[in-house]
Amino acid sequence: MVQAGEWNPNKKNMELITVCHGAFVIQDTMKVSDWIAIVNIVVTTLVGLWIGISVRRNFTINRAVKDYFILECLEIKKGYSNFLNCLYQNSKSSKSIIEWLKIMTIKIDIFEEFLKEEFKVNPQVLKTHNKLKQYITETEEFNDNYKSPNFELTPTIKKNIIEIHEGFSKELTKIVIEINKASKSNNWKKKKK
Amino acid sequence: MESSGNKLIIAGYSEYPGPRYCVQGDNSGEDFYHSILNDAFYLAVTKQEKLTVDLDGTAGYASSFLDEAFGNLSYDYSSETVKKYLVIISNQEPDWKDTIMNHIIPDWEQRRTKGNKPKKTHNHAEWYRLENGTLTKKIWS
Repeated sequence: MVQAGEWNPNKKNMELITVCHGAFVIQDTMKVSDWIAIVNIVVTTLVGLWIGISVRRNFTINRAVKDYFILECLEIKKGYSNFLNCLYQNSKSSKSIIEWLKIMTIKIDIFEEFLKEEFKVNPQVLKTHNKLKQYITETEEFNDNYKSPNFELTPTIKKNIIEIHEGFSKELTKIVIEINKASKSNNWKKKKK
Repeated sequence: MESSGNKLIIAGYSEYPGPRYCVQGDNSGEDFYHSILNDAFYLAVTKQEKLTVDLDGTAGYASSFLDEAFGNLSYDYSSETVKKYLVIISNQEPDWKDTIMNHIIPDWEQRRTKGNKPKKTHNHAEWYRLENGTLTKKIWS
C-alpha cells in the first residue's frame, strides 16, 4: 500500500505513457493544410528575424559609410569657404596660400581615391581644385606680392576665383547626390569575397 | 641641394620654393633653373642618361615657379630633348607632372620657335643652351 506523499514509480510510468500516446494522437490527426500552416509560420518567423537582424544591420552599416563620405564632402566645402573668406579679406600670404593648397590637394586626392574605390563614381573635385590652384599661383599679383604678408586680390582675380569656386561647389553637391543614390546592387561596389 | 646620381630633389634646394622671378622673392623658379637645373640637365644629356626631378617633400609650389624653371629648360634645350631626358616624380601633387610635361614644355617650345626670349631679373652666370645641335655655355642675351 502506497501512502500519500510517497513516491510511486508505477504512477510516473503511467503519466509518461499518457503523454506519448497524446503525441501520437496529434500526428495521426494532422492534415496537409495543418502542415502548410506550420511551415508558413516558421518561414514567416525566419524571414522576420532575417529582416530584423541582417537587413537592418546592413542598412545601418551602409548608411554609416555614406554618412562618412558625405561628412567629408561637407568638411572640404567648409574648409574651402573659410579659405576663400580669408583670401577675399586679403589676410593670407602667398606662402600660406601655397601650403594650404598643397594640403587640400592631398586631402581631396585621398578622398577621391576612396570614393572611386567604394562607389562607382567619377569625381571631378580635384580637377577643379587644381584649376583654382594653378590660376591663383600663376597670377602676376600673387608673384609680385610674394614677400608681402598679404596677397591682395584684384577685382578680376576675385571674379575668376568665384567662377571656379562655383564649379567646385557644384562638383561636391553632385558627389553627395551620387553617394546617396548609390546602392549595393547598382553602382556601389560589391564586397570582395 | 640634394642630388643622388641623376636625381634632383627640390626639397633639398628649398622646402619653400618661391615665386617666378628672382626679383619677386627667394628660391624662385628663375633661380632654381640657373643655379641647379640647367647644369644638372646638361650632365644628364652629355651622359645620355635621364634626369629625375622629385617634386615631393616641399611645402608646395606656385604654378609660376614650375613654369619658369621647366619652361626655361624647354626653351634652352628644346622640348624634344627635355622629353627624352627628363623624368618628373610628383606623388603628392600628381597634377604638376601633367602640367609640366603636357603644358609648360610645349608652351615654351612655341615661345622658343617664335624667339620670345625669357625675362631675366638677375645677372646669372653662364648657362647651357642647345643651338644648332650643339650645347654652348655662355651668358645668353
